[in-house]
Amino acid sequence: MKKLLKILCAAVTLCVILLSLGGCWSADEISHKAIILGISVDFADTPEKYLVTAQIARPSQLKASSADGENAYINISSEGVGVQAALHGFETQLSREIYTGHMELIIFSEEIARSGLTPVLDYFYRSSEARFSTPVIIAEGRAADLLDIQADLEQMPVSSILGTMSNQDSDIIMSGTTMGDLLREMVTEHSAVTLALFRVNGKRAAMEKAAVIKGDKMIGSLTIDQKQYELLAGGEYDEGVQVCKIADGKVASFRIMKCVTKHNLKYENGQFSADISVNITGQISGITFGGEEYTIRAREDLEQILRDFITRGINDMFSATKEINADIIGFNEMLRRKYPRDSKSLLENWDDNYRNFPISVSVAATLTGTGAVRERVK
Amino acid sequence: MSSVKITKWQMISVGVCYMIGAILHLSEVSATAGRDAWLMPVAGLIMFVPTAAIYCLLVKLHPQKCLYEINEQALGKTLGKVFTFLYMLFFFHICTLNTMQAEAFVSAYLLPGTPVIVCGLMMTAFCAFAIYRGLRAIIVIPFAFGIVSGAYLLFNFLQSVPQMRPEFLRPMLAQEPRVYLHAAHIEATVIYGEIIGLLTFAGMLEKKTKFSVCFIITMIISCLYLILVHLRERTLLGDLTPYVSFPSFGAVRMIGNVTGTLSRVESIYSLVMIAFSIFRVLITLWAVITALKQVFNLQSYTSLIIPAAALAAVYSMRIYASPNDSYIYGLNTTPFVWTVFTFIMPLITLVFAAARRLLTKMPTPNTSRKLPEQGAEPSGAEGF
Repeated sequence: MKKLLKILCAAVTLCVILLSLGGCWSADEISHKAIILGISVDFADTPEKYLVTAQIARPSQLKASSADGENAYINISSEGVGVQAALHGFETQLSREIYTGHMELIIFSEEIARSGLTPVLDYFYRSSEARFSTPVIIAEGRAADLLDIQADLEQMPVSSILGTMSNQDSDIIMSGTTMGDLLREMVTEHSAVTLALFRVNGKRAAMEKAAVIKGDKMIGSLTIDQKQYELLAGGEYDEGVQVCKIADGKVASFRIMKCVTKHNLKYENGQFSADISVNITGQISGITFGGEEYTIRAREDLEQILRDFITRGINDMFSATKEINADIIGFNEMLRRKYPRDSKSLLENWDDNYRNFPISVSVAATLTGTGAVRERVK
Repeated sequence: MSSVKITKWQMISVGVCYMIGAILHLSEVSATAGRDAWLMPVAGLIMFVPTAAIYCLLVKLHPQKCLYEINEQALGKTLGKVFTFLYMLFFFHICTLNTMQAEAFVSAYLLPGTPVIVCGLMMTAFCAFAIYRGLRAIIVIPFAFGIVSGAYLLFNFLQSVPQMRPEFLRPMLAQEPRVYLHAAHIEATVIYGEIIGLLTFAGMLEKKTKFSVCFIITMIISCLYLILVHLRERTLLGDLTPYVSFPSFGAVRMIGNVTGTLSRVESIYSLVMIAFSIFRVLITLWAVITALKQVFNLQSYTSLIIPAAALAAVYSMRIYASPNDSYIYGLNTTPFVWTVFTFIMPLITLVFAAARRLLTKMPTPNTSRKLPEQGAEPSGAEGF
């Protein structure tokens, strides 16, 4: 009897295994998915509706796209009362189920960013597929146009935009703010964060500004130069180029090799203040004026030029952010961390107090090289 | 007493893997203590010391006995069985809670769209099979798996170091004291307290091995691990931590950059997490089955495995409407309810055991009456 039971159990187990070899009854094969690489969100022409455009990869065309003129992607759009509803609308246009797990970019139009990102971001951060490490950018004009640009060196517009950001990232102009960074700043009171602001010119896109987001709304923008100084003052600047424009069209450019920024918050006589010290190491990259005196022998003069230029740039950046009341460096958080009790009253009205918050900037510059030549070639 | 013996390191690996399995339940502590959550494993451990001392003393007074045998020896047959039955309910509740959390995690992140019942049945079927195979299978799983997974978790932690922002931990200890008390209470009763399940293995420990040594090493390793988990959560998520359903997993999902070179590292991490969670289900299911065996004086627990596992799978779908309810319950009610099972009941058992020991040592004027041997059932024990 026991032996019979064993045989019976083995037979049942074998049957179950054999049946399951064919796969799951509700199999979710990757080849049956429409893989979304990027999503843009605009206000639709219909009131109270969003226009969501998705760039979907066509894996079969990824290698042969340039040869037969077929794109390696398709863009499809759908309208809905929310992002979820619009995405649901894709299901009626596609033969495959959409998949956002490989989404590499989220683009919001400036109009949406100015009206508030919470209603549109809600879907993305609740989704188990979307990732916090996905970069978010803002588009001047229609966000969908960014997904339709000509990607000369890449196969897809999304890759081209991401390439621009990561390429610029190494050259300090813009770092990619991710959905996680954005959410983290959104839950932190009074903080502001900057996102890359792209503009479409014809069929090409360029990153020309940085959108300043406070709470969940875009409240203004910074120029690319101001964005650089934000990175410098915030301690996120690694290396890059500083082109110092001096009077009468004279230009001295420097290659920055290393940058160390320190923040020192003070509380003296009931007054809070911040000292920012920036220590730069670089080398001469190009000088359009002067004679022999502007070689490495005149290093101190050149260092002074660089020092003054960066100090002025950072101060101008702070003036601009104080005008729009955007604490993009996060002094409020730094104060809260360093002086949790004393700073309470100041931080309660931080939106007003930031305008008058004293920030002093000191820059130290050291030039360690002259490039490939020692002297200026006449 | 089981004929199977487990070594010191096997016992430690069971304890540590069981504690790591609690990773899906850490959100209550993160939400309560905020940026100071990483200090709570230490505060909770300090709060847990008296409970730990009770567990160690219980095992010291009743060497080579498991929790349920200790109950019967210390409290007498009737009350002992009542306690064992209550522990059975407690472990059954933990078992189903863990199954529910694991199901929610699997169907949300690992295999989206998979019916919850399929996840539950597969997990409990695996656990039932491991229990059917016997204690050796239960011990071998964490020993082999724990080393590999532990190494991976360490590697995974190191991967996240470049993106960590230590400033998210400041200001330290600037919240109201009741916040820390609440968080440490959750940590001590819900996270550490559930380690009482390890006492169901105490009877199988090798004779020369001290349970207290195993227990202390387990608690220290677990505490270090919990500190690392909380540190990573906070330094990666910052103020976003309370908003994320599974903070430790959410933090791992943050690993990555704009070029995508380091992204999607959470796939293996989620597998490891779910494996540890299943192991926690396995241990609690084992505790349930052995408790039932003890209550009903059964020779073998084999016949209990399938019904208990099936009940756990089904009950896991009914216990709460959603994991969020469990989270809210875990914030306010669970720490107090769990105190009864993890502290008060062992304390009562210890008091009875100590009293019994004192009585047996006390010289009696009536020399003709034979004193009962230690561990033997004294007459009138049912009266307790």
